[in-house]
Amino acid sequence: MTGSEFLMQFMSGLTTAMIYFLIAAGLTLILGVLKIMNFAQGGIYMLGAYMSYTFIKLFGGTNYGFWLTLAIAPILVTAFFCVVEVFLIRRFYEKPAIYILLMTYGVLLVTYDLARMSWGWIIKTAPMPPMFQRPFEIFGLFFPLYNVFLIFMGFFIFFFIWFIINRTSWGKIMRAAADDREMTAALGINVPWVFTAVFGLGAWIAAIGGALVAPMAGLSADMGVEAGIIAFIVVVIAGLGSLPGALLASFICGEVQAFGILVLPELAIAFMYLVMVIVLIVRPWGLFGKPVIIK
Amino acid sequence: MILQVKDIHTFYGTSHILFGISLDIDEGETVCVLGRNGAGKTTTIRSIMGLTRPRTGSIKFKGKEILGQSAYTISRAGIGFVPEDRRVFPSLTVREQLEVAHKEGFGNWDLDKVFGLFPHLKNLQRHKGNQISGGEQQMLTIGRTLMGNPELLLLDEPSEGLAPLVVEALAEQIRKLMEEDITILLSEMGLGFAVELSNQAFVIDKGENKWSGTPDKLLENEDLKSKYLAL
Ligand SMILES: Nc1ncnc2c1ncn2[C@@H]1O[C@H](COP(=O)(O)OP(=O)(O)OP(=O)(O)O)[C@@H](O)[C@H]1O
Ligand SMILES: [Mg+2]
Repeated sequence: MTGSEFLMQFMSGLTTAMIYFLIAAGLTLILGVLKIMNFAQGGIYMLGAYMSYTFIKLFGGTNYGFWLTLAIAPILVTAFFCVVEVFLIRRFYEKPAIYILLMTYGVLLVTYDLARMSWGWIIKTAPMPPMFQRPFEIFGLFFPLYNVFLIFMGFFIFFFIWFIINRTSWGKIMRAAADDREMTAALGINVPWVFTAVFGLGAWIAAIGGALVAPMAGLSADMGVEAGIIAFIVVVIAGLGSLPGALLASFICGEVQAFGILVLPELAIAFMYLVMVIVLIVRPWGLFGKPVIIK
Repeated sequence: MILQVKDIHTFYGTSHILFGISLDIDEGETVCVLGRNGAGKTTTIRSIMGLTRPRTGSIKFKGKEILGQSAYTISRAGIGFVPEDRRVFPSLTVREQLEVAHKEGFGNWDLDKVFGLFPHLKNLQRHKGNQISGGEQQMLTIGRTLMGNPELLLLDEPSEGLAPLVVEALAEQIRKLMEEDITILLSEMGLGFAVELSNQAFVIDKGENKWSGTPDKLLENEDLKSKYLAL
């Protein structure tokens, strides 16, 4: 393999990695603070993508329409899932974990049907914003500009969440509630609303992931389920609830897939499973995880 | 009367733990709840705080019924809780867990004032909650609750597991708190530091009130001491 082939493959792996990270980061956050497995996460990503498709079309595929879409569509999807959290998911936090699994799985199925009903069976792709319809040059190689933008957004969102968690008073409250929700409540903090906010933040990350994917991938209702599986693999490799772990695990998965495709094209996706199996054998609690107990 | 607990019955699941506990506490008083292992001290305190809700009875704080309210509402009403197992947040630094607990209320506690009471904590500001000793954790957990400016402070066995010198320092710090007009409820298994600080004692056993009165009377009563207290 030449150096330039390597670079191209690396960049394409990085693009995939960022999509994986955006899918998995919200799941990681929700798992880390609420200690629940949110199966609906893939559905949120999928609805974020479809909603953005609709808005990008509505705004006539313009540049400003794209930016407006990025601002509006994920927020709308987030608001919807906050309502779902308040009315459906919230009441099961203190129940055995199976309730949440069934509940969020049910929500996933509903998002699937919702997408089928609203957007139909035919695969959709949003128009690429004009400003991104040109290549980006690195070391004499040409790479889609939009992919570079996506990689940038992935890192940006990582630092954004990291900043919220570690540098704001909101983050302090979130970490306290993650450590000990009863003690946090006894200090006068309304933990159910903290959970809604964290759930909403997690949903927003997945929805913006979907929004960013809308102009570059074919959208179908199935993408929610696929995204759910990928997020699950990433989170397992990362260690449950670790955000830097999720970034690293996404990077590994994206690159393994990008280079795996050169070796065994039909089996590229299987390499991710292989990584997961190896990690589970060598370090069952994941790369960055500590042993976590989920009720 | 700042707190009036009347005939509360508390359960863990199906096991009946408190059989009609009652307590009356006046503003500015320091009282103690004494009883052996498993007598129901923690359960009483958790019941007041709304962490384990009594099934029947009444708990009035400043005249208002709080039984049935959530812990967060009760905390906001002005009751502060220091758990016996301390429960510091392992992933927050000492400073962060003081900050996160800060709210307006009865007193004027803030970071500076807490560091004034526990100067040692000031040097540990950047340490994570799981990187400090048991005695330091006890100071932190009291400081953290004070940051919420409670009018009534519930301290569950604060001396448990602390070295005698640390307990002495803690007693001194609680004396300073008493000068602030804050009402304090302490629990302890025997006749140690809580009873020394209190002006009223409640003895409980097997989830029932057994006796109440002034510490002097309790100290004279050999029968009571040997029957219900860990000596
Ligand atoms: N979570 C629980 N589930 C069931 N029973 C419990 C639980 N916690 C405490 N108990 C029981 O309730 C009774 C009272 O316990 P509690 O913790 O209130 O006692 P205590 O006076 O605080 O004792 P200690 O001095 O050991 O802290 C005990 O018999 C105990 O076994
Ligand atoms: Mg106890």
